[in-house]
Formats: sequence, structure tokens, C-alpha cells
Amino acid sequence: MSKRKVSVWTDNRFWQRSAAWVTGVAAVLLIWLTFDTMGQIRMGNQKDINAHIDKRVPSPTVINYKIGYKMNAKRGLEVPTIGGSDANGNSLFTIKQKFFGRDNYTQKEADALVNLGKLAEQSKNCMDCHTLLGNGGYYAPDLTKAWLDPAWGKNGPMQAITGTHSRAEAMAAFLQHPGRYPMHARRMPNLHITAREAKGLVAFLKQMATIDTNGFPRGFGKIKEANYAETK
Amino acid sequence: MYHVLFQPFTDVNWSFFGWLNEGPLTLSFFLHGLIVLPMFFIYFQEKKRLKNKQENDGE
Repeated sequence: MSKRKVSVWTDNRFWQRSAAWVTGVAAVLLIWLTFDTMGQIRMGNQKDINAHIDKRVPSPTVINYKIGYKMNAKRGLEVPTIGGSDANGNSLFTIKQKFFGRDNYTQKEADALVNLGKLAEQSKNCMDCHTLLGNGGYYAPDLTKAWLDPAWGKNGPMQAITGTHSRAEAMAAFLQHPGRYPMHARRMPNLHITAREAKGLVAFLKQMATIDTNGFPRGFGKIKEANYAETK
Repeated sequence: MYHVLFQPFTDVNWSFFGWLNEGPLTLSFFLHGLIVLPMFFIYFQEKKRLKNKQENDGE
């Protein structure tokens, strides 16, 4: 009897087993990556700052500190710096900065403030126009590093326009009455943000600027005066 | 610094996938190896099964 050559490629069982294997591995990888990501983005606390430990998402108490954005020699990319930085771009966690007149917000106070800002951001649907950490619209400016925008700094126009004397106060004043301060061709609508919500939103934006985004947006630190916090 | 083929792990938090991604194509090789290599095993196992079946049917 002549032997026919067997054909694995036209055999259903081979494809069934291959599909099951690929699907199974992909499912396991996705579950693994989910837990891996959860570990990566777990928020730090004041103890990490006291111990000079870098976290991808630092404690809300970073609102008590000066925030910068520096080229890190070891990482080879720009990273947020908390409380000043050394020559290699590592955070010093020492230099404080007043946030609405205080630099001693407790963990509980800072958590509540940032949480209020997050809730305000969600209820006012900022992402309808703005981008936060890569999510949202492209109609209005990206808010990921908005805190570091030189426009709000000492040499920027917004403090003079709003009649305020700090970055945080200028941002809060603008958020409450965006129609009064036209800073962009695309005007921001009045969302009736209260003073309390504005303070929370600014805290939320300040903490978000300290989130390590692996150098994104690239070249942000090269913007003139973007490192305002390191100088004045 | 980009002339170095394998660079030290410098990410802010250590992770297995981040570590795998440090070298050139290492993450790709790992994932392709994990998915494709066992398919060779499945292929030869099925080939053997079909041959055995053919022999048994011929008897």
C-alpha cells in the first residue's frame, strides 16, 4: 500500500491547539502586565519623600516642595525633580515651596486636596478638551506638565495678568474666571469652578507634573524657563 | 551613551518587562520564543499523531 504524506497544515487539531496556546499565553501576559502596571503606578507617601525614594507617582505631599524637570544623567532622559536637584538631575527632596501660603500640608490634607482636584477634573470633564497623561482631547493645551509651564512662572505673563504673586494663585485665578484672561486663541469656557475646587485642581496639576512619564513629553525641559523652580 | 548594546536598567521602578526591554530585541525574542517555539512542539506532535493514525488505518 502506498503511503500518503501527512499534512499537518490542513489538520484542524494543529490549528486548534496553536490558537489555544497563543490565546492562553496572551491572556496570562495581559494579567501579568496588569499586576505589573499596578505595582508601577502605586502612589507613594511622605515616608518615601523622607527616605529620598523616587516613585513613579509620588505622594500628594509634593505640593509642599519645589518641582523641576531636569535631564537625569543616569536615566538619559528628563525626569521631574522634587525639592531641588543635584548636578546629575536627582531629586534632593529638601527645598520647599509655599502652596497657597503653606508648605506644611500633612499627608491627610494633601491627599484630600489632590483627591478634590481629581474629582473636580472629572466632574468638569477637562479631558473633553485637554490631555492628561496621554488621555483626552487635543483641542486645548496638554495638562500633564501644566504646572511647569513658564507662562505661570515669575517671568511669565499670567501672574501679572491675574494680579497674583505665585504660580499656584495665578492658576487658581485663571481657572475660576477663564473668560477674563484670554491666553489662547481657543478660549476656555467658564466652568464655574469654585475657589476650593480651583485649589484642589492646582494641587492635582502640581502632583501630576511630578509623575515620572519616562521622559514624555520629550524635550519639554528645554523650553526656556521651564526649569523656573530650580532658579527662582 | 547609545553606542552601548546592553544598557543598565535605569527605570524608576524595577519590572521584569522593563528589564527585558533594555537590550536590543530582547523583549521581542522573549515573546516570540514563548509563543512560537511551543508551536513547533505542537506541530511535530500532531505530525506524529497523524502518521500513527495513517499506519493504524492502513492495517
